[in-house]
Amino acid sequence: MQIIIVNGNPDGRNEAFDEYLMEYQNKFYAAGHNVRIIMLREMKLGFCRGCFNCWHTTPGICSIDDDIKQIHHAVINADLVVWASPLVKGFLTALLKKTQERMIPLLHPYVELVNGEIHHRRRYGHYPRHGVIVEKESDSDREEMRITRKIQERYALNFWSELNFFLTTETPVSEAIRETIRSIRADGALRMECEPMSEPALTLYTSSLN
Amino acid sequence: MKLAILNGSPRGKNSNTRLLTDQFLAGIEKSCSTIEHATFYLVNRHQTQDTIDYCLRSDVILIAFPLYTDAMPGIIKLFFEKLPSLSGKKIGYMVQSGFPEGIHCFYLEEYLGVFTRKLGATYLGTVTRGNVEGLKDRSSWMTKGLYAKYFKLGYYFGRKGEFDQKILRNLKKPFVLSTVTRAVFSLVLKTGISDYGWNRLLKSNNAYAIRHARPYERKINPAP
Repeated sequence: MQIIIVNGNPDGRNEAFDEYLMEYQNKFYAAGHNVRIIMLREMKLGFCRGCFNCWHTTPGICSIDDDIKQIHHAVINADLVVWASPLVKGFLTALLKKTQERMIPLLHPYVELVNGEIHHRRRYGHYPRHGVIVEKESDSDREEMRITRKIQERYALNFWSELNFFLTTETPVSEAIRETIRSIRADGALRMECEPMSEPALTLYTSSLN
Repeated sequence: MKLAILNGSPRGKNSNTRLLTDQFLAGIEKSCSTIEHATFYLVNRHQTQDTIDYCLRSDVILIAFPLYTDAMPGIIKLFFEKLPSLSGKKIGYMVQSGFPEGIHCFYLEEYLGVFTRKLGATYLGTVTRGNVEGLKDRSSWMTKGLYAKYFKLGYYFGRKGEFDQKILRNLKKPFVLSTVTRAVFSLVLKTGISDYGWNRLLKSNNAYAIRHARPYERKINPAP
């Protein structure tokens, strides 16, 4: 499987969160899966300007000259994307949110009816499944968790996908991995098979696999 | 009363958001209220501290922004992360969406309530409105009704310092498309009329032939 973990932790001092994701990644890596962490805070990433050039001028390609292209490539070719972020003020970090909204070049501007709702038409033949891992704040309550989860379910729906799991870092890593595997097995569109590593595990913008 | 209007559109002064807050402000002016107001564009991030300082001196804060992939734009979230406690203030929101149905904004609106509580402020509610993309390119007869509602909303706000719940509910409609609208829309989709505007833009940019491009599909393209 090709798994991409998008680490939206903006704060290098929060080592526990990064370590959690590395441990999560290492288990899949050891089992032979093609798994990479994308360290957003080490990348050059602007904010979406709403120019829609990716829809009407250079279809599928964002006009902002930064590192988003690597993320588009990684995300669209993955089987599973794990959006990961500490919660700040009850929601995903701005760093992860700005990355999520910059995924619109992966869609068409055109719309269609999906389950009776208007959504953007698919540009690509295949879209990855989504998972979410968040770190709670000291005052996080069930209501915020429910809302964040719901918004991520809607986000997955807009990207021709489903939210396969929503976990917090309170879940021990071994259990998070079991839950991920369980969700993959229950998903008719995903298979646990390992592919040969088609890309190097280490690049400038991914965390190292120690 | 002092009112801070925060325009959170990444398009800043050229945003649909501004067209709506302008109507809202015109309504306030017309109500002869004594509200003193100033507008800040959050896309100008060098002004973030000035914006926060003004918020701290205000009684009411109105934060207006477009829906970006099911939630607030990243620049708004970044601003939210920088906001200090605003206890004693009242905060209202205006969210615009390109989709016609209110359901797309529903959970964001729930979040805004929670977020306001976290700041220790009083939640005035959220004005959500769909089908707002491309407002400035529409003829005036098409926007007249919508602008009138935002004007009235401002007028009521000028008098009472809160949102008119009746207009609020009205603007949110439809929450989901009715069976009839769905049937009509699926027919319209088949004709391709709904693609017309985008195709026109694609053609004028010489991009129509490559409109279905899949530039990042690995089978076709190597990694950039």
